[in-house]
Amino acid sequence: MQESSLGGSATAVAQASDFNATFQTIKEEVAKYIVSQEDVIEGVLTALIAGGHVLLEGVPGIGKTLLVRTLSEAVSMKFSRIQFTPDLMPADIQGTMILQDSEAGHPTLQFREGPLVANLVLADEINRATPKTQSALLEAMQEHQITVSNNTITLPEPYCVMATQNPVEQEGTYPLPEAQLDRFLLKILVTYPEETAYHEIIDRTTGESEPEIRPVCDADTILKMRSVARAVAVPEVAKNFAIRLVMATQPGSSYASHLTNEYVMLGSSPRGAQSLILASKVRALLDDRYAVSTDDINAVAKPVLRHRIVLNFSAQANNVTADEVLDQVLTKIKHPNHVE
Amino acid sequence: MNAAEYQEALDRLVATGRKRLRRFVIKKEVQNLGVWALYAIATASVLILLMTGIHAVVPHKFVEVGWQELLYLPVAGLALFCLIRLIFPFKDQTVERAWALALYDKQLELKDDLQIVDEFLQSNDRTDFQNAAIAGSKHQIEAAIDFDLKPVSFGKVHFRRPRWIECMVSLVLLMAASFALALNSFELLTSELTVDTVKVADADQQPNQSDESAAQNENPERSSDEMSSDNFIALVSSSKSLTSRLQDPTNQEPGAQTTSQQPNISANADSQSTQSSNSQQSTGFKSDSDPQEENPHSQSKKNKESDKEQQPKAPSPSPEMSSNQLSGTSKSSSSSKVSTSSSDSSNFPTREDNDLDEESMESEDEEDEEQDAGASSKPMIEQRKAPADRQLSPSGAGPQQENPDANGRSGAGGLKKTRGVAAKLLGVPMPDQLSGHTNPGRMKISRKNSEPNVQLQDLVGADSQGTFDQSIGAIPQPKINPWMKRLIQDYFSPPEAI
Repeated sequence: MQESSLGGSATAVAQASDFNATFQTIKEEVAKYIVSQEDVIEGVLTALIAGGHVLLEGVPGIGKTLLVRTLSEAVSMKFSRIQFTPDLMPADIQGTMILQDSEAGHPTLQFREGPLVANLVLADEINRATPKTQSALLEAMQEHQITVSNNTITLPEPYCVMATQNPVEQEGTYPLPEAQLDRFLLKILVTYPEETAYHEIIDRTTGESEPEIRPVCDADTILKMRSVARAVAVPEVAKNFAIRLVMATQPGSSYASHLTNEYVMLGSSPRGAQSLILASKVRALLDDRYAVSTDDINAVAKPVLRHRIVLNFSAQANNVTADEVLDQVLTKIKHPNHVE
Repeated sequence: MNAAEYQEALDRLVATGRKRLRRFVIKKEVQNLGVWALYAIATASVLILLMTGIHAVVPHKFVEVGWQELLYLPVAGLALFCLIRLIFPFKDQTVERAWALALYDKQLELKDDLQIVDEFLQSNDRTDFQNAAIAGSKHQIEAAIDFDLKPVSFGKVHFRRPRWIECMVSLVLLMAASFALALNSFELLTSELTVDTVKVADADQQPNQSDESAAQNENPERSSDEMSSDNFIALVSSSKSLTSRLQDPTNQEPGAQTTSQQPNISANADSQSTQSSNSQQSTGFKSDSDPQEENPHSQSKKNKESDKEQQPKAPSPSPEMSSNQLSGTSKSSSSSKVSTSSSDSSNFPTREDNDLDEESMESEDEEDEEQDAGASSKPMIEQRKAPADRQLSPSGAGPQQENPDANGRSGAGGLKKTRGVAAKLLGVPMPDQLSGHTNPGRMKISRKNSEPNVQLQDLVGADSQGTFDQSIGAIPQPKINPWMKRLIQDYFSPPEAI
């Protein structure tokens, strides 16, 4: 028997309303410092609320690091910054066992936390560290814990790694391994601001006083928002669309496009479908809706999938990018109930 | 609104959407049929071309259908295919609810709201957010009910590049088939005309046949002369009128040859058998075979056969043979039968085929008898061949200069001569032989035992080297404090939770 009443909808509406209000508050606070990067701010916040990590890619000087630092100040959580360098070792970011005097006066081996143990971790220039050090992030990003020697340390929640990298300067850098790229929920391309935004940037950053960022929420609020986002309903039509999009990035699949078959070496994993749905849920809430639609999935498809597509040599030789492949995928994969 | 009211409103929307989409699906099916019709046209054209080709090669009794019947098969197949495509897709592919609601969602730009609500309404245990999604779609549903669905744009016939190629191929094939059909119908028309006139000539002869046979018994020479002269005049006139109608050179050839042969037949009986055999080669279906390809053995048999027949009939007048040949009633002479069949070959391919079969069987029997008779006096004389060229010189030898008389048992052919070193040495005749190496011989292993020689050397004692009396250095003995011992013990002890 179908329920005739629509009980509980008021609760959901209230939760969604609170979610939206908090989200907008954080966004406005960050926007005090960051000018004309609303999509980037929204993307970073989406990753934080959806429980994922975000990779910001852009040329130097466009405010990637500043954005993450400002966000950490606005959400009032434990923040740490790691400047990745080629000589950085895993123990430098995870922590190590050191000899310390105990209360009884006897020195004992104790674990000293590295900068990875925090709520918000800014991994600045992450591609400058060696793969060995980069791999130290794998466990932390996926399982929210680190293991040093025989000790396993659970990381605090919410936990979010916000990494930046420079796409231009390739000398002395190490490309991120696919396993680590797959762990990022979103890869957001930070582009140059528009002409009108330059005036605002100059006025805000070169005056006598700088904008003051105040904390507008804490970790508990973020966790609450995360639970609300997880409760958003996902209809079958949205699920089907997300699955087809992910499969369309896999060469040889029934939904693969021409570019996929020709230029893609490795497509998205099922984690890509999970990420699509999670990011779409946040976006649906931001759009005052209580269920994910195919439009939400379409909107987040590029940031979610672009770093999960590994192109082959032929694509690099022909200057084919992952975004071009995704453009064709999004054009080819129609709405599941599309009838024309 | 409660859930039931939402469901009812959605049902109305689904009904309207389905109507709109059903028309669209029918149009889509018709469009698909149009594409498939291209394949059908191409297939039908190929079939027609193939059948017309078979019709020209295979005797008519094996291909009884005409070109009109040939058309029925592909047309009937296309009609059946269209029927199946029209019936079964609509049975299987009913317009789903989601499709109909998606049409509203798209035209109203509702971001799947109606589809989502419809899905959530089917669920038994809904979450708060699902209920909120249903409740939040009230305005959208109301807007959809008031909305008049626009007709679904059918668009142009979306021919991709390969489809154009298929279309062109179908068109070319269709034109070729039409041309072949037109050509075939023209041939049929002319052949029918020929058949009619020859039948008239036969019918004229039939009533007089009994009288003529009776007269022949009394005075064979006289009756045959009269009959041949009358029929000859009638047939020559009819054949001349026919040949003037025939325009196709391939079809004209047998008829023209027949008319041209008539005076020769009456004039010279010696050349009759030769002409009849030639006419047989040039008629109908045997005309495709090259005369050079004919077995020389059988050719010589036929020549001998004609020589034999000429000897007893040499004193008899030629008009008798010509009359038999023209009337087609006499079966005493094989040459006359051949001549008759050749004259009718262009008109009655089936009859000619039967005649040819009977004739070939009879001639084979006669050949066997001749061989049996001749074998006792001159054994294998018929099969004697010119000897093959046994010259081993490679000069001038090659596959194209193969000795045509060689039967493979008389010596080396051109191919074999060109093998080996001889082919590379110009003008040096060398026999074909195998090259080889001399035997290297056996390998012998011999063993010889020898006694070891004793070598003596002075022994050196250890005492002569003396003793090591120097200091070996200080050995450090670190002083370990208790806390150090405890630290090491802690390090190697089982881990404790930190």
